[in-house]
Amino acid sequence: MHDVAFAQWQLWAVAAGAGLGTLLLRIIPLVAREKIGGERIREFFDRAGYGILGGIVATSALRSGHNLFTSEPTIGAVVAIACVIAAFVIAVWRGGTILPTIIGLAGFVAAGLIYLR
Amino acid sequence: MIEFKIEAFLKNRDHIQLNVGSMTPSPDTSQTDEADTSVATVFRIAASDALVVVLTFLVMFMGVGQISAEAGLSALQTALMTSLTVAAPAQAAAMQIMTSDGAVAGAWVAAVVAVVIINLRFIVMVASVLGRLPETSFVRGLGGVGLISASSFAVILPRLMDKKPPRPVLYCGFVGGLCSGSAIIGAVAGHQLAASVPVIVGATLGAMIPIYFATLIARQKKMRNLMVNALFGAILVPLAVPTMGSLALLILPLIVAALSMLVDQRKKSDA
Repeated sequence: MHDVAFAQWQLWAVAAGAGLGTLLLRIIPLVAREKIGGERIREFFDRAGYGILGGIVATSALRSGHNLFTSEPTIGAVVAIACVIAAFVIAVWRGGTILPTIIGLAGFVAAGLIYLR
Repeated sequence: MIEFKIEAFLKNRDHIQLNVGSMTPSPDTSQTDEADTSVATVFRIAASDALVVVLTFLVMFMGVGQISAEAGLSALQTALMTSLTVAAPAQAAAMQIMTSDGAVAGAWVAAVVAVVIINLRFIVMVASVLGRLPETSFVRGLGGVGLISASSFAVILPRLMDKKPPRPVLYCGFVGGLCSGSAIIGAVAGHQLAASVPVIVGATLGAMIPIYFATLIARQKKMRNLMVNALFGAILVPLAVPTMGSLALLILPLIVAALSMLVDQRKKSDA
């Protein structure tokens, strides 16, 4: 347990400050919409958005692998990335999202159960 | 005489087109049965798309609720923070700052600043989504993108680029609201119950997010530029996280996007 006991107003300030601060970040592009409405700017944000998506996929896959394979984080990372790649390839090949997700997840669970046994 | 009739016809045609054009996107039609069905349809699409994220958030935010309770936040404060932030890593970082051994009374300011810095990436995400939405008022726009998080963004952007749903702003609002709602339920449950899930269940639900998102990225398989950017993001961001922290998820994709635009521009000028 931590040593500092925060006053109620400080706890409310954290809850409201973090929430409203994040909301303000979302409002910025809304206010500046006129300036970011061009075709080139939109293409730039599309590309940046997919870069962020790729980053989210990789970092969260690595985290999931580490969480399950606690004593073998490298194996966990390899298993998680392999399952993600398998789901991606199936989605590209056959289309759809649910079936590739189920197949990728089944692979991850099977590897986890073998590891935990 | 004939010219006059043609002119009158053209004027009438323009008038008819204007009327039709003004009726189609009219927000007033929300009163009709047809529009009600449309809202239900949009909700169904949004719920279907967000289902995986909703399930995952219910478990993921339990952990956020637990550490919020340890930091001294009440269930109501946890719900308020989660409803607007909808970012487990940012909230976890803030709570860690407040509960760390060397924390002082002013640590709450550092916690708020940390959340804002970690969530800077939301600016790019919202800008990207807004580029795909029709012009609308500030209030409606805020309702659409006001609750976008990393996960809801990953659901929304491929949908808007692939098969755009009817009423896309409403769709975005529904996805954001569903994700935020499930995050609140998970966080409050974790706060009140101090519940923990088995390792295999937690890790499996955690793995659902990247696997599902990878299939969403695959929807744009024909857009080579987007695939290249996603690939570079997937390779570079994890490498940079140890040194740059969460800012890696903001800065590197922006740099890669700018570079890929420059390369394309040079190719076009060479051609």
